[in-house]
Amino acid sequence: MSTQPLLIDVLATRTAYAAFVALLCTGIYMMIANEHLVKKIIGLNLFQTAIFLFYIASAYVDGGAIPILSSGEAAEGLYVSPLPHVIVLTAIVVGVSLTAVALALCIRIYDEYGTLNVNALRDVMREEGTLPTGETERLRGARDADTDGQASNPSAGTGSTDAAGGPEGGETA
Amino acid sequence: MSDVLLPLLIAVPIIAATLPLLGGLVREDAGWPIAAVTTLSVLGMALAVAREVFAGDRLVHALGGWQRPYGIELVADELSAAVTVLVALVAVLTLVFARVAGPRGNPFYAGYLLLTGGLLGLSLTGDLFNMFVFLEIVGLTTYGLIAADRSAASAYASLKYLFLGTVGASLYLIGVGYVFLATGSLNMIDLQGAIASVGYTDPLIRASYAFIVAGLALKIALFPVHSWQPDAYQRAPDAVTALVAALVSTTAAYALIRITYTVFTVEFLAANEAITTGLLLVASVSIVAGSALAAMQSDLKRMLAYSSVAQFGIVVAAVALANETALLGAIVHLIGHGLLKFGLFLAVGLLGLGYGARTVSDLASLAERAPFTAGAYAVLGLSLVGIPPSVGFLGKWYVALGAVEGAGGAGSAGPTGATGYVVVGAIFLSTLFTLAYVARLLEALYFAGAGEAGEPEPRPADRADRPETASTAADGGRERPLAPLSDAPRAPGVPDRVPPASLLVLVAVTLGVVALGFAGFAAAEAFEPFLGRVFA
Repeated sequence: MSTQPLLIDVLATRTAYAAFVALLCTGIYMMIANEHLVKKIIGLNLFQTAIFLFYIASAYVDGGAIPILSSGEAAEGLYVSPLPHVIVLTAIVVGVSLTAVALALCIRIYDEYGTLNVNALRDVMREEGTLPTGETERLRGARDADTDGQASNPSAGTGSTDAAGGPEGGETA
Repeated sequence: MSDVLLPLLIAVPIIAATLPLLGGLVREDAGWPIAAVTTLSVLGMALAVAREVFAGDRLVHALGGWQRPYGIELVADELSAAVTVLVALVAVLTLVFARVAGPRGNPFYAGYLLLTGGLLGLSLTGDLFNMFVFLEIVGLTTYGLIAADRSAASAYASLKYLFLGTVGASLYLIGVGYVFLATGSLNMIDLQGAIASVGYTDPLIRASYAFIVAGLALKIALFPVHSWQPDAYQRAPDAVTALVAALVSTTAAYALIRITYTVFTVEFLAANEAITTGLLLVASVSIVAGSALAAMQSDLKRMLAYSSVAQFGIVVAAVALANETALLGAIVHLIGHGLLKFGLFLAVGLLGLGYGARTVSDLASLAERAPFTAGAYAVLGLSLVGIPPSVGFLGKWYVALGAVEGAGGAGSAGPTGATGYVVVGAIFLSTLFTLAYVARLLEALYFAGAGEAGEPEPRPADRADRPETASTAADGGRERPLAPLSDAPRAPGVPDRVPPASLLVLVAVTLGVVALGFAGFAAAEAFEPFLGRVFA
């Protein structure tokens, strides 16, 4: 396989690569900016799809045929590169199983906390002591003028894992 | 002939991963024996491979008889053989602890075997895309195992890891795509020549390396992108933490070494000074920040997780230093740190299992109740600081030495210049921070809460293994050490209320870590052929 046709392809089919970059950035932005866990997963999928597009676009050869030969037939003319297609097939399988695991985890989180919004989730987890008390929480604690002085103690958070295990930890005992 | 062992090493645990589920139809507790038999046979095969490799034979197996560059190759050289043995060994040892500590259930053991197979595949593959597949097998099973105790907090930690880990693997995949576009090959050995002929300063090649390093940095958990690691390690069940902390980041770092030196080669690093300098700076920040964050933690597992960030910073810095001594240091530190972290998380897990200790303050005077566990914990901690003789010292020493060599420019291949001194400074600072948090552990274990009624009895850590009479200081002190949990197991012959088999493993690992500290020259000799090929 010579490198030359592939490099020319890079120049000839630039639109696909622009789409690749746009999808990639959209996906990663969704993952970072969206507060909803399932929408983050959709962003992740978009991010991966961009990479599939990139591989498929790189395999394309203008006028190339499908690279399927029956036995004994000689290879003639142009074919698109089959290897990236195989790679993308594998990567799609990986992506599907990742989505399945992510959604399963989401179900468990929703069962326990009743929300999939990251901010709401953080609040709930801080209340039960699973997350360390952060800066914003301390400010909020001061604003609410809460009765409990402990809430403004920055280092109290990580310590109370036993309390965190509360409802779930009981089952294993 | 014995190259058949290579595909077997990967296939046996992956196929056996289906058995706990099938066996679960017949017997509730089928998982553990199946996992034990499988990992033991894997360990045997790994040792056989290592024996052959260190005798001077590189093993190569072309899967399905498809030769390079079309087929996928499995390759065992000195580096991958060492990682393979570490993976197999830790997989066997963790099982001992998992039997008593859980998580129980056949699905856990299925995931456990899949993870083992994935890790072995990652360390043996000679193909870039195949490496991606194994990276994702390892990732997927790790996400599953971290959430194995069915708590929602662990599910959240696992989901966080899933997002970052997948982005990491995807960035790696983009990098592989770029290098494939530039060269048309995916085989590591084949790429070595292909990249050289395309040119080391080709933009596509440079971008490819940058994407691959960024992706692996997420998996390794270097400083700015480490945020999944503390949560994941803290929330995971203890046995899973021990396994994951010892192996998952380690194999990702192995992948970085493999790709940097086997695929892109030293010449690439020498030709791209900006890349090495950038990598060195990121690694140095990681070393310092990881240690500093670790020193601020009160949760035992979180502390160790942040310490991993720092230790892998050292490994990555050594990779970027690109000279023989530093690379030897990276390999020794990689293997040594894997063993060390396994021991440390095992000790934390044992103290948690027997006494419910989770934070530094829980450890107060616990050495009286559990002298052997605490002693092993202390020795492992000191080894993490880098007190000789221990493998922790050895790795750091070689890396620092390599950094100085590179900075001195004494004819070495290192293109690093003065940045080498930054690394040395970072390692020094990190050692001080490490000493700070390990000293907190030691203080809690041996001094805190004891002797406040005028009976100060400082006991140096190296005598920790000697069982003390339980009531010397605690009687008079205001604080008493944590009492063992009501269902804590008993170990015959020692006061520790921890599972005896796991305690034995812990002591053995501790002795191993110290003993490996004497193996500096042996390590240099063993990895000489690999280093020789890399810096030819």
